[in-house]
Amino acid sequence: MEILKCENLTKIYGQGENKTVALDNVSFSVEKGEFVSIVGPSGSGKSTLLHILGGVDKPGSGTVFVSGENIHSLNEDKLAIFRRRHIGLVYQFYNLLPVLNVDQNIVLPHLLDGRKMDKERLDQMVEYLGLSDRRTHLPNQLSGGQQQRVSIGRALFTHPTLLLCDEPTGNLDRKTGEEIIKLLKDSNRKMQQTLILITHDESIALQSDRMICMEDGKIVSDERIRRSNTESKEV
Amino acid sequence: MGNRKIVHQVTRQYMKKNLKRTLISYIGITLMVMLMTCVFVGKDTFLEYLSNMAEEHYGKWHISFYDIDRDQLETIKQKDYINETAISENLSYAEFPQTGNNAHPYINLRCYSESAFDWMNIKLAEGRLPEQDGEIVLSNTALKEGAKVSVGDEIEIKCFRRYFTHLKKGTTVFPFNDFSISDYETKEAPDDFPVLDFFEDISEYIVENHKPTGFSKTYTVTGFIEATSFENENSAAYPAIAYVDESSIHSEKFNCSVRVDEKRLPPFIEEDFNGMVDGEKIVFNNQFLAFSASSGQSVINGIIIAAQVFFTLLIIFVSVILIYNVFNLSYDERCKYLGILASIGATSKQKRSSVYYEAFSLLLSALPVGFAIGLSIVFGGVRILSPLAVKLINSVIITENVPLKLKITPFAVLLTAGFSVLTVLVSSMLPARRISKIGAIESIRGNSDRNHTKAKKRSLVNQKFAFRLNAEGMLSIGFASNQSKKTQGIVRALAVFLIVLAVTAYGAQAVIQMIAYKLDNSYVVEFSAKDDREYLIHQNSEDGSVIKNIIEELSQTNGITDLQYFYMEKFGRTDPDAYSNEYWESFYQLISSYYPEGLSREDFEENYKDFCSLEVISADPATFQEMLESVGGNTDESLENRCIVFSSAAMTTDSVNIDNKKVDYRFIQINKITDLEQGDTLPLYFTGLNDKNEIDEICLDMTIAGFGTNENLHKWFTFNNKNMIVITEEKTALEINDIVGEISELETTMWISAFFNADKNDPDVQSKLNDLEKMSGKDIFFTRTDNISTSEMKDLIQEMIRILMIAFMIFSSLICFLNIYNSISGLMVARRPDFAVLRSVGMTLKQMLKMCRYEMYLIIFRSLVIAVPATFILCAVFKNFIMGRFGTFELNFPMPIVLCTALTAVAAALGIAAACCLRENRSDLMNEIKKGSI
Repeated sequence: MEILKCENLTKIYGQGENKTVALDNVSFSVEKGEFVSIVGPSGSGKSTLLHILGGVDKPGSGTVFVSGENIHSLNEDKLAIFRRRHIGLVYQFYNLLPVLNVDQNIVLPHLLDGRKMDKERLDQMVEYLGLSDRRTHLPNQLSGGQQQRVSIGRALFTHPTLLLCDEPTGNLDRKTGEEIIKLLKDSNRKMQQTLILITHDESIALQSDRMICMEDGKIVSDERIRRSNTESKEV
Repeated sequence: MGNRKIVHQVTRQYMKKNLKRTLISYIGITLMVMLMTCVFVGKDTFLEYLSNMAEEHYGKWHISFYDIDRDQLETIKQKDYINETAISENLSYAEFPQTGNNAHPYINLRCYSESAFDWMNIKLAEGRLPEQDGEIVLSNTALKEGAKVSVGDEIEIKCFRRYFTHLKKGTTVFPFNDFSISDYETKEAPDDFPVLDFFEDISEYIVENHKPTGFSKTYTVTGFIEATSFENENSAAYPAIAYVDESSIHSEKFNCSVRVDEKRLPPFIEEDFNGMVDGEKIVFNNQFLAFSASSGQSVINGIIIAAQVFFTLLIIFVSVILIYNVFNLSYDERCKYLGILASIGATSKQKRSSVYYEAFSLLLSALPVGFAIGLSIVFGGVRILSPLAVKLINSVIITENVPLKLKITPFAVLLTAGFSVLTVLVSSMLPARRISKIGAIESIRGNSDRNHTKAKKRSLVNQKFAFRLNAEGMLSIGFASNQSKKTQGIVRALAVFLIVLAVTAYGAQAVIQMIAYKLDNSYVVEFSAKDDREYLIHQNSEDGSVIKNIIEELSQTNGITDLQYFYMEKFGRTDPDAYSNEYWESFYQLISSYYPEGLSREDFEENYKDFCSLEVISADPATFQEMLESVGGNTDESLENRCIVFSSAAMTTDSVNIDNKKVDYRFIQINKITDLEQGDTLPLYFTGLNDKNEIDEICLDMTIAGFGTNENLHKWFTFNNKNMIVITEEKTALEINDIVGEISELETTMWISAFFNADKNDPDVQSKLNDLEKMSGKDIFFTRTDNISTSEMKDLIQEMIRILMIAFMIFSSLICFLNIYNSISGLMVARRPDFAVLRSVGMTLKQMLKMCRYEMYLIIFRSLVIAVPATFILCAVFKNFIMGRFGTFELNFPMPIVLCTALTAVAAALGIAAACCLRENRSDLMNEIKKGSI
């Protein structure tokens, strides 16, 4: 089942001599439960693509359909509501609200949607993230890895259609990075969570189902990753 | 380039980069300088303007000693604080056969020494002033009215005094000349008394006769003078002034005016003369002295100085908070660049100097601008206030010639600059010290201001509660509690705004009340009807039937509206027990101040508690009923001799004076003049001389139907005196009149005043008004109420203080608003990354606005937690101070003004927060992401 479809996405910054083509006629689609990694050198347009897919940036031209909805045809408010219901975003620098504790940061999109607090789901999520003893801590009282877990928890709490991660391990040490990727992969495998992840790390990209390679705003390759059954089990 | 120069250069760059913040600091400092200029230069300019006007009208003299002899003159001249003297004498009246107006058949001859002409503002219209004995100037009014006299003419003067003889039994009162005459007596006419023809029919039973003083002389007219302050158009005489040398004074008793060294003037000049000069004969040119801030009345001087200190402190307070907040908001950014500088060797001192450099470079450029704006405001302000000032000086014509000039003294400039520097120094000192203590690494990392333990505690406290709220509520509590330091600026700005407005309003009310009490020397009932009714009829003779008929007729005339009439005061007495304990205690306290050696209770009871005067006024039935309803009294008409007791009263050292002793001014307000209750009987005694010339007394028992105060009876009148006053209905007034008549076997009357409005377009009404005009001066006196001088000094000073306070509140509010805007705007800018995160996780604009609104509610609550007790404490300190200095009186907190301004501040804060939130929402989300902030 096709969950994401983007067609002819173009994004240009600046004008004249300063003109930079961030995205150049990018089209691809993602199936439900797929784990897609996007790789490419700096300035290749990965992050711009991810932000356009997440509805935080607008394309110059082209369309993005998430669950059949053309998200860029929505007005600001409807797009915000769409984001909190269908998109989960995880950034490199966590972007937690410094004034909210772990629990509050996790349930924030849920509460923003006007829904009642789901205590049971929160307990499960905190348990799943391994943050049970940190629930009342503020972000600045947590390590980088813990903060990124909270960020993932926040992204997953509303059962988003798409989980978009922009270099989630870029600011973490290797060991912590691996833990975070394990967590994301778990969510993909166990919850059938569709996941699109930007990374510079080839070893992480190779753990995905599909790897899209970008260069100068274009998709230069889009390949399924083949791995043995053993490997799959190890993961 | 030295290290310090580098620091300053970097500071300059950041000032340019944050142009908006720099501009706000600059505007704040400019406003502060402007307000300082208004306080220091404004005070000097305004007082000099008033002083010049007072000088134009009242003259340059400081103190006048009346009816002194040559020995006393010598004593006066020997006093070291007396700089100059001028002599004048009034030689009374002389015939003026050259007159062209029969209403002015005389001249009133005064003789002046040379400097007296200057001090009394004698202005020439034609010719020259007298320079030697035998020369005289006459009023130019005489010339205008057709007098057959010109410069160079000789006029012969034979002086006399004017006397009147009453040729029949009974009394004739001249209420507007403060003169009455009765029962065949002969009395000297008061100054400026008109010719008898001015009053119709009076010449039938009052005759004027003259008694020569023995002075006669031929004078040469050297010129004509403009109308002087003592020229009265109703007087029978034109002023005339001749020259006199000190050595050739004509009378044994004469007047001496002096100019003094104000700084050396003793507090009680009468005491300095050890009784050689009668205290009552010493007159201060208080209008002139008051505006030189050297009045004989220390209270006025005190108020001027206290107001200056009060304004200065408030300006410093609001400015310090604004500038401090600006520096605090830029703290994080400054930390970063100073951290970089520190890492390459900048010392703490150099880091401190960055803050001082920014503050003082802004002050340097703000000083001339603020000073110039301040001067313009002072100039404009004095122009706006000058109509009131003109009324205050009571001189419409002369004061138009007084030029309005700014008075900029070096001392005022020095004070303005000095206090501005002090304000900037104080406000930048704390941020400078704080910033100098931050290490290089902490500064660069941006974790210079984190307190993990506290944050954790706060977070735990809010945990349970926060989840019960929606997202906006949870976020607002999170922001308000976990970023309290960042919101502290707004809390401070709002709190200062509320405190300043409340304390200013309270202070203004206190000053206005003090002036009202101090300057209210009339101690008579002040009818409010004269303010909203156009016409007044006052009974002018013993025959009250005329005015009663007129009132009856007016009440039945269409087009005559709002008719209200009162029977004026009648004086009686009551029992001492009718007065309350509070009254006697206050009276004892006040009397005790005249006895520095102490006054025993027994002596007080024996000497001061025997006579308890009581005044009665009566209203028409409808008005009395309305009054009763207004005071919440018993409206049962069957009550016998029902009355309303005016329960509030006031006593001062001015109204209660013992043997003309001078003591420090003291005021005591009495809230409950009697301990009697509604329904109790109040005995009222009237005394008179019976036909055997014996004192006879009759008692009338009144029933108390209610209690009135200046607040609940202000629609009808106000009253501030120490005596009990009761309001009765008309029938009781007539009964009282009968009682008094019974005692003295004389026909007596209770004088009536009636106020009304009239439709002038109605021919019938117009004809009645014309009839009343014709009748005026006989049994009735009829006038328009705007002809009555309502512009009493206290009203005008109060009005001026009100205007000054409003102006001050507007300007200080500007600083406060700037502060609030800057604090909120700064916070919202700092929140930009947080807002971006919130938007990225799906927060809508509506939710963001709601969140900001919730957070502002919490901030406002925190401001109130600071402002309310701080205001309470400041007002209590202020109250204690003024009550200690001035006396005890009820000072209500001006709740409506404070509530209005507080609501304005709250609305402004919410509006600014919403506007800033909208602005931040418009910022490009991707920009924030690109900047790496999210």
